[in-house]
Amino acid sequence: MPHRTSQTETPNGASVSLLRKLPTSRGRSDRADQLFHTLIIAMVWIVLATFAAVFLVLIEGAWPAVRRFGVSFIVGTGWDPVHLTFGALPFIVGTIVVALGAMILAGGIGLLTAICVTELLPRWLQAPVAYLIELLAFIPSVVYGLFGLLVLAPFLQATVQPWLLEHLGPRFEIFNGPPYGVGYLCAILILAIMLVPLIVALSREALLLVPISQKSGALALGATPWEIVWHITLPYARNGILGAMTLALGRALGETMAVAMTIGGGYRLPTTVMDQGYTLASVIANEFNEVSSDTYLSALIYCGLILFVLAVGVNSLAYFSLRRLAGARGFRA
Amino acid sequence: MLGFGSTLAATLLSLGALFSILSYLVIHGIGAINWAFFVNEPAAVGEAGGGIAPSLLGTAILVTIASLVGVPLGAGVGIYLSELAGDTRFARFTRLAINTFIGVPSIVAGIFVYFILVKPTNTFSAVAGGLALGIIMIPIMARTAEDVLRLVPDTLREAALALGAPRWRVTMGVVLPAARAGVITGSVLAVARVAGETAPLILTALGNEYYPSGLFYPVDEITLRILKYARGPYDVWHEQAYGAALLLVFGVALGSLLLRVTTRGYDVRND
Repeated sequence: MPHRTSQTETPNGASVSLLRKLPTSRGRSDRADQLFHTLIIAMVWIVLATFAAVFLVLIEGAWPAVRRFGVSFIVGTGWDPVHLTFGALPFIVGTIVVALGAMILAGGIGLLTAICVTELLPRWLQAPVAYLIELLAFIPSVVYGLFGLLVLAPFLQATVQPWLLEHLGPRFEIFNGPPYGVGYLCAILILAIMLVPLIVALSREALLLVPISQKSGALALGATPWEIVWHITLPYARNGILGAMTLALGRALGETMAVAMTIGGGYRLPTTVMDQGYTLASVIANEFNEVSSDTYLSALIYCGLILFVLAVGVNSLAYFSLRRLAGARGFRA
Repeated sequence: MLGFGSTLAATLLSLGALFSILSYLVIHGIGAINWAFFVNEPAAVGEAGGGIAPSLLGTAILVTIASLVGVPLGAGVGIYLSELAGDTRFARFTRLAINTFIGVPSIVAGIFVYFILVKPTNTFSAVAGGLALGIIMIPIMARTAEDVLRLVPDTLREAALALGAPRWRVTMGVVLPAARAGVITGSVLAVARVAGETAPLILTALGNEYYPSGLFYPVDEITLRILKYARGPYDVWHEQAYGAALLLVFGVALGSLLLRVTTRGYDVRND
């Protein structure tokens, strides 16, 4: 869970360490210092090398598919393990649709919840309620998948989807699909529940950073509590909230198990909200142990590479925008 | 006030989601939890009376291997970033790498270990699963360790240096013990987080109906078992899945609550 650092940081984020500034100690301990230094640096190198290796292995594994399918993999739509034609566009679209759909739901509900907890609830109630919501974050992905598959999907299939099909289907094509239960709707709902605690926690941090002086000033000028929230608190915390949303989006893109268990499974581009489909992460999880050829395996790794680039891109965006707009106090997520 | 009304509704919705999930886990899972659940191996397909003992053992093995990899390396990077790093390109690059890899989907770590360990040794294994989980743990541990070490005030370091302690002693003998509670909390939370991962294990540990024959054999994990049983068609399997899920959530929540209670005073509030 995020929390703030207490020391101020130089603009690039590296606090110039006190120990670094001093000359090395003399005598016997000089060697011990060197040893310690070398040991720690060696550990850092091992970690960096591992990260580099992960990236390189991804590229190496995907390379046969990249060479064979190239860009057509990213814009193609046929996924045929038998005839060895692979196009991952449905998965890319699926990843984005599920992530965005969950973000819209979770962002709205999460932000409103954060506002309620920090501005509306009395002090003594804030911490317990916040803790309860954070409890949602401790539920593993596979348990969300369990709940989605065994509880939500049958419920959707029995009540929500037939209702949508009957009342909105004739007019809106997006609701005109067969009620499977599992599918995009189920996955989006489950993923939204998973994102809510993250958004609430980060938004709360952003909202708590608003100085009381600003709010008192508005109060003195006659603003109502809601006006304070809408005109003072939210604009001040806007950057932190945007950073929180971007981080949640990054998380949503990579979410594997809960989506794998609730999205059904399909290789076509989605046309209705009740379609089944795949995201990049869930297709790898579901099909990896069933690959029948090296090309198939390489195609899945290619999906992993695209996912890697997507996730890293969005997370870097979140990280840099949060850092740039954090202000004097280090705000870390 | 419509505005605040909607916030209240949202909060109730969030809490409602939490309570419905937890209550489903409890209602459907509590029936499966009995002595046999903890000590038996899985029964024949669809039959009652089985347990998840191999999964519990497997979870313990995987988490141990993951911690052996993730905690020292992660703490080492955390110590570097907090105590030894100057304003150099190397330090900035390291921090960037850590922040980047925190956001990488866990299945990527599984793919990596599959290629470097599972494929060459021709076997899914506990070691591979533990390694994948450990790799996921490193950035989390590094970030937590750095944050916690940063919280230790400079005055402590200055005092130790003034007394003539060498720099390594300042870090290991003064700063680290001062941050001990936070580091322990961070490790336990990282472990709990990693214990709930499933995707990388599908590609590395695979799963097992029986106790693992050794560290280089496939091993089952509690999340893999939940996955398998949830997707199956048998009611007994669903019940056991709920039970295992209840166990997992309960364990993690209890652990975090205990930690919260025992390590008060390590947060900085802004008023």
